[in-house]
Amino acid sequence: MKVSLNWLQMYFSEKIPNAEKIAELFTSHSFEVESIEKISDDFILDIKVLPDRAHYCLSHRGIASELSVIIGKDIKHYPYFLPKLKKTKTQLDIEIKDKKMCRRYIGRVIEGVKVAPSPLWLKKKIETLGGRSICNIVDITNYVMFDLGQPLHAFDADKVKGKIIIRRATDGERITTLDGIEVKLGNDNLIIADEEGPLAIAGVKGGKKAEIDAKTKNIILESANFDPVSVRKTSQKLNIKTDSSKRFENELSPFLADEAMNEATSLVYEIASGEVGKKNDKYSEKAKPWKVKISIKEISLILGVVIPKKEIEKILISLNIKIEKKGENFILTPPVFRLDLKIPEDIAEEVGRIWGYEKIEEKIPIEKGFKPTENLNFIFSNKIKQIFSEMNFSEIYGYSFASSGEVELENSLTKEKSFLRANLSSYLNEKISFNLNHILFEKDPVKLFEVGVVFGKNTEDVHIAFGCGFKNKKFGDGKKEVFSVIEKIFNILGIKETVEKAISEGYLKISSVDNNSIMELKLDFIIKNSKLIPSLDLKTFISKEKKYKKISHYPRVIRDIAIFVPFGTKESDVNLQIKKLAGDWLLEGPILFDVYDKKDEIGKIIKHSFAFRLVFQSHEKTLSDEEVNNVMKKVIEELEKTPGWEARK
Amino acid sequence: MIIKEEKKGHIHPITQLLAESVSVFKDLGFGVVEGPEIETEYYNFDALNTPHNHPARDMQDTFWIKPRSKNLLLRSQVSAIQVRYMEKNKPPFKIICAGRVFRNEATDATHEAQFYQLEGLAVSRDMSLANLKGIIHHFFQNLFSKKVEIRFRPSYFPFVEPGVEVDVSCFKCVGKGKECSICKGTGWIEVMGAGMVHPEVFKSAKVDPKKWKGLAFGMGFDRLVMLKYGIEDIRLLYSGDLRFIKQF
Repeated sequence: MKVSLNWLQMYFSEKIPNAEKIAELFTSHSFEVESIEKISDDFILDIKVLPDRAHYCLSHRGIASELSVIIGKDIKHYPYFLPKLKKTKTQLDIEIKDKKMCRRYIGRVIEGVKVAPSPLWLKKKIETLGGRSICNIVDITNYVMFDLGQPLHAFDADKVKGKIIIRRATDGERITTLDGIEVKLGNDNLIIADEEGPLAIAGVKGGKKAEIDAKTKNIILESANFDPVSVRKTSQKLNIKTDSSKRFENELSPFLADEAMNEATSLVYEIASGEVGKKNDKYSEKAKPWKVKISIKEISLILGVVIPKKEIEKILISLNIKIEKKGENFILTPPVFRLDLKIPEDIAEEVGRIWGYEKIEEKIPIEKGFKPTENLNFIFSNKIKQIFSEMNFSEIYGYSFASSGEVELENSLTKEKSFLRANLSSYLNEKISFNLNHILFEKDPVKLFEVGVVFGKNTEDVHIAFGCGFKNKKFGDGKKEVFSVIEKIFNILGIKETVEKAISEGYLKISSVDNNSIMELKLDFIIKNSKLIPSLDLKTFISKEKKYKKISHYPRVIRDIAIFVPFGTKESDVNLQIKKLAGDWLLEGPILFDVYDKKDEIGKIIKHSFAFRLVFQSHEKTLSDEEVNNVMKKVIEELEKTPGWEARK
Repeated sequence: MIIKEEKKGHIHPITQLLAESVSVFKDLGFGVVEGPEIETEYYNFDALNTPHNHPARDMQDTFWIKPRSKNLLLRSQVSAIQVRYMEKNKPPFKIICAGRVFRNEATDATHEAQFYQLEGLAVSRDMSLANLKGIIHHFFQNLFSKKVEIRFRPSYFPFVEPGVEVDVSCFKCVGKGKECSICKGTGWIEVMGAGMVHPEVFKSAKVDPKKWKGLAFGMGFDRLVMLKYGIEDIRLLYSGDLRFIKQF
């Protein structure tokens, strides 16, 4: 919710802290401040008010009350100037047909108003919050909503035929909203109607029929309270979300309606003049105060710290909570609009957050009564992952969504993702082929695995899938590699069955697509058939400090370099030299791929030849052959400066 | 001379961080549990004090399974396991659960429709907010090699009260660095939601809230991984791209 600093200041006699300080204070004690924006001579704080505090903090006064508790300064109260009541020509009759959906309805007629553009101060207040100034009457209703949190509405009294009826719509009844959109209503929707039909969607949006316009002379002010669930249902079903529906769906106390009516009346009289009629207040479900019982001990137990009794009392009093002491217990009566203070835990939170969470000292709990059992899925899957990695298979995480399967989603985002995957093999196969486009040497295999959940008709199981593929048939088809890794896993985990038997009995599925071989089986099969629970050292999983580099999508340029060096020269030294000289565009390598020892006539090694592959790539552009050639030229030049080092042609 | 083949296969960074995290919690006496990815609306929401038509449901967008009448969904939070576990296991206990969760949101560099969460739940006669602080600080201290601080900010989740957001001090800039891309100069990174188990959740599980106190915490794991390594796009974690995976 957008909050104006100047508006907050109105609630205090002394100067309040600046926007940044207030944001800090709120963040520590109340709610998150998402941003601070300077708009001319004001600051707008965007405060994230969550559902628990939305009952009272979707208003400047609510936010000001929070601030007052934190900085320890009282809020100023403005008396409303209510003029002498007149007998109006329009009689306002109100009938609430559904008392559960409408707990309170206050209506008031004001006759002889002058509808006009709002005075500058009011315009400014509305516009600073990002709203649009419409006219004085409408702006007043919005002003009071942003000030006190109670949404209001104003009708043109002359356009209202007969009494005001708050009732459910009949199926198929229609209303044209203030936006000019025709909306079809149903029996679930509460409406404000006159004897002719709907005037407004209760708590959500007003209708065009009784709209305030420049010719309006007489108005009906509405300050009401509606059941949160029905407003939310209506707002969602009709897809109309407004500042008004937001406040009602988070539940407001009916208590607020009267005060808001007073403030609105006072402002209308001041700004638009007119003759103010009597209030007609139909209040069926009266806001009843409630009590919460809590002991100092309980507060200490929940927070884990002992806060002096006096401090606790001070905090509760500053929150306007009435305290009755009964021995070790407090019997508390929260203000009737604090719908979030219902249970002792709510009170503990108030005390803790105002006192300051930073003051709570941390304590590691010592609980001896619990002996955790080992989770087999976790142990086995991680052990298997380790074995895979030792056999050079790398892990991928795929998507649970698929374009086909046994389980369908009701509301997926796209067609390709409207099912849940029935196997891991399909995605794995795709990824093997994808990665074969980026191998370094033509004969290199791509070996991947995944451990994850797949979905059947009424089941979900953890599967293991693994595969190996080659770019060309002549290098292999992956069968050897997948067989050898699963045999190793069976071996290490003491699996009773043989791989062949598992395949023939259908527990282990093997598929061959192109030059990729993929196997898939249930994790359960391994756990059930394993003769032992493997030992697992979790601390070995995390690899040392790795530096991650963004992947460039520009093409790579591959270069090989072979170099003769004197006998005894270490490959790692040559590697290091080349790496240093190759520059910033070197993405991978140097990778050693060939070694040749040149011997003399009697078989003694006189020199070594090391062949390295280098991969170049830029994050900014496609590298040209020329650019890379220049780098290679320089590398060779530098390398050959070392005696005995000679590049091979 | 034999050319050594490329050293080892690479384990996914989420697996790595999860393994390390579990090891820290195991040292604190936590046990590992798991829950289903397809959940009932009851365990995912209602049992966690989030009834139908409560605004708190807006805090998460749900994937529903066909047919809608079955009230099955892809779990939107690992917390769904809390009442499931408590129905079958009496306190005291300390458990953690890591798993995939799903949110029906548009995807971009920081949002995916699926991601990982690590959730913890500890119930005993006298668990408190001070214990929550202790456990969480201990965890982050062990995860990052340098000294880190944590702080609690008041927040709201339907299944805890008091509810807090947990921030960890920015490990990159270590303080109020205005240029820091990670914490945007605040010096803090939001990492977790946490709080004391709400009595309604205990009641759903038929555990007496007068006798038992619980603490719960949950964190988005992908985000933690991305922060730790400086990964710029969450979708890379599910890309199956070796150019990405082999960097870990």
